[in-house]
Amino acid sequence: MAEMTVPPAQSARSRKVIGTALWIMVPLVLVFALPTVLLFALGLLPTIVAWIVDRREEKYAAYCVGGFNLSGVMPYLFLLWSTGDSMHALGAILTSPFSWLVMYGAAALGWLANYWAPQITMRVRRVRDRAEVARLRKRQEQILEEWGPEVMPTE
Amino acid sequence: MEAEQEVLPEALEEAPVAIDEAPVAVEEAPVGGAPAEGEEAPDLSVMLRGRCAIFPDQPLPQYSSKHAVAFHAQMRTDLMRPLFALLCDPEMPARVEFMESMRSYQLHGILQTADWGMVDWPGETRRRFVIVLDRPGGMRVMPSLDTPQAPLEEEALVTGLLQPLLPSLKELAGRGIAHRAIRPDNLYYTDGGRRAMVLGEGVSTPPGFDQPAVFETIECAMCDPIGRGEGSQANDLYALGVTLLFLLLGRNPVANVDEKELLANKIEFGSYSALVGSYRVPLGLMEAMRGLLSDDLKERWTVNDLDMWMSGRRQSPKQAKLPQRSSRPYVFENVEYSNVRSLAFAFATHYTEASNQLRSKPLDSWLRRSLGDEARADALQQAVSSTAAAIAGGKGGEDRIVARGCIALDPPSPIRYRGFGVSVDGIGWALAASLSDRDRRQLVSEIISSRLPIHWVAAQAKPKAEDLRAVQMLEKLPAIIDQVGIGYGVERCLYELNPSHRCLSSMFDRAYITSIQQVLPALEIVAQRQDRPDTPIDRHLIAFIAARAQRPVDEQLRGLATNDPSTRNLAMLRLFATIEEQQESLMPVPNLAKWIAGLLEPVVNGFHHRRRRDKMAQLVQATAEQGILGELLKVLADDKEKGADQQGYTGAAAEYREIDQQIRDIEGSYQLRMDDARQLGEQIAAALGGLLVSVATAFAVFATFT
Repeated sequence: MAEMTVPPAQSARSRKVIGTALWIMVPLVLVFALPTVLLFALGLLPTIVAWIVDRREEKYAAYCVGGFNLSGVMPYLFLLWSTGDSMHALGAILTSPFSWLVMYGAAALGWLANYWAPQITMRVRRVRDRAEVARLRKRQEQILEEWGPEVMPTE
Repeated sequence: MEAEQEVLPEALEEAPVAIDEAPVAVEEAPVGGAPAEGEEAPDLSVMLRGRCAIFPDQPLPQYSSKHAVAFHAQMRTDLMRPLFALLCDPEMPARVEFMESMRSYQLHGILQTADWGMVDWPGETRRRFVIVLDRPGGMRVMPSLDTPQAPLEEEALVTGLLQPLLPSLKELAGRGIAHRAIRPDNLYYTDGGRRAMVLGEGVSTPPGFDQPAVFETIECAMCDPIGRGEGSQANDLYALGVTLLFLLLGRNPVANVDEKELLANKIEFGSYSALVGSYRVPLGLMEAMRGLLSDDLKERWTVNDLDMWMSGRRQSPKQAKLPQRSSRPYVFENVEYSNVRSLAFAFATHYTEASNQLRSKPLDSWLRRSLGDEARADALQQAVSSTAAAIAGGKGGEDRIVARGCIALDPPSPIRYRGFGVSVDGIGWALAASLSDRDRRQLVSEIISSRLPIHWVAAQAKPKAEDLRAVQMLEKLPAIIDQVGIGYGVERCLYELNPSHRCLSSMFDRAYITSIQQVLPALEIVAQRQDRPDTPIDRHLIAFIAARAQRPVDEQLRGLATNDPSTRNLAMLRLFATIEEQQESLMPVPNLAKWIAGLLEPVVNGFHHRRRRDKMAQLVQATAEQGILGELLKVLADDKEKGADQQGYTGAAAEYREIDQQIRDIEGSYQLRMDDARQLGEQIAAALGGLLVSVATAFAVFATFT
């Protein structure tokens, strides 16, 4: 426990380092890859929303929607990069309704998957449990048939 | 309507020697006593073992005994043989052992017994015991002991009574058995000429039971008639001496003297003086009379002495040996006593007052100083103190002190307990005759449980061989009689003390069972009856088996005492299987086996596994039909099968409970399981998202750069 907890001084130092790195990296990225950042920012809005909406620690919904969302953004990201990563190319992508349909549609599929996957697993589990109970009860009936009702517990 | 004939299993007819040669067997007579096919007897006759017809409508009072009524009888195979049958008192056991031992012998001086057994008697709900005897040619010598008649001459007595009787008495003495019913009204003339006499029966009642006290020795006269015991030739010869006196006088010489007074006189003055009084016995008979009536057992004549006398050898008559007299009398209940025997008799008679006397110093002083008998005083002191200690420990009451005290004071006298006198060899008879008399039965039981017979034998200066043998039996009886469980108690003592006694089980009302070999065949017949009881055992049967079994059966008896019916019935089967092993020839008893199998149905039903139970039931049925009880026991007492069944049952019950728990777990954790499933679904969805990213990326790369 003592080994796991980082002493306050060390934690403040590492935060400072990360903060300093971000202050350096972010402006550089903004300057040299602005269209990519903008595409990510706009295209992954559903993911950001999912991240905010999913209150659970595991953030499964966020990962699911994020994955689907990202897979919708990916083709346009490569299209952008293949056309020079320019604002003009970005504009062409963002003005096409089909692009938004794909990106946000994928996110919607992610939401659907996030809803239906647990439903399916729960249903499967229910069916399996019922089958198991039925099997056990059948075994009990066999025992009763062989040994009579005396085997049943008195309570 | 023809009476039903019960079919005997073949083996019954070929039963062991004891059954074949015995006049009684396991067969049950047809209901109503109808004659067998082809029988020439009239319709009213009753058949004894199919051999002898008895006519209840033809009584012969002139041959009746005190406790047995005589009727005309006729042997099928010998119609000319004059017979009569005695219908015995149902409460009185007959002397079957005596009849068995004398069966093959012709005793010319005694009426011959032709046959005996149980018959269906008209008007009776239970079967009755009859004895068939040869009918004498003449009438009774002295029809009534109370009615005087013409005296007989000395010569008539010697040639008519003593000479014919002597060989028979010798035969009996040689076999160690006594007649015990020698008296004038039990003598018959052999013909109308009234010369020779023959002695009547002495077997319809216990030994000595019908004898008036005047014909009994001092010791036997002190006994209750039922407890006089087998006795010996000494008793017969004493009775013969008194009989001679009666016949010589033609009357009872002490008719006006009551029994107690007569006994007191015999003790005080000797039997000869007490009985003969002032009568002058013919010189030719005086020696014999004195010898026969001697109160000293060592001095009393034996059959050999009588034989020698009759052969002409004469001795001088012996004077009576009287008990030692004290220098001063002892007063008890305002009566003075000068000898210890009379005093002991008085104590035994007035037992409630005697207890304190026996512990008192005056008595002790009297014994030591007036009588000069230190040994007797010491013996009395020891007996009283040891009994008092036992009483203080909660064993018995003051009556035991009186009984022990009287034994110490007068060892040859019989056991006297609360006014009831019994000899050691009469205890069995007393018990047998007391079964329907609760008070007397209780008395006899207390005598046994307080070990009085053992103390009596120990007090004898020279115990007889038969008494020493009796001690071995008597040692184990107190423990037996005090147990109330089946197979013990009074019933067991009855059969232990009376080796020839028939089994008194109510199931055998219609049979005469005297040996263990007859039990299973008899039960086989009972099993076929419509009115058979619920179970083939009762106290008498089990006690009978326990007493007669060749090997101890205590383990089976313990099983019979349990409350659990299955355990009890299994113990019953074990017992019967033990008897079956001891049979000389194995005879299947299918009806009995099926009866027992029915009772043991709970044992079969005790198997938990249904298929195994059904299989067991079939096996039991098949084995029962074979009729071998040992095989049935093997099937029902198979511990291996039971163990396997129990083990399987325990396992099955455990499995059932486990399954119950599993189902409860599944149903109880429903929410948790749903939560787990949901989480799994979300994980799958998240993974799917991740996978899709990879696929989409690869696809995008491929599409862009090709």
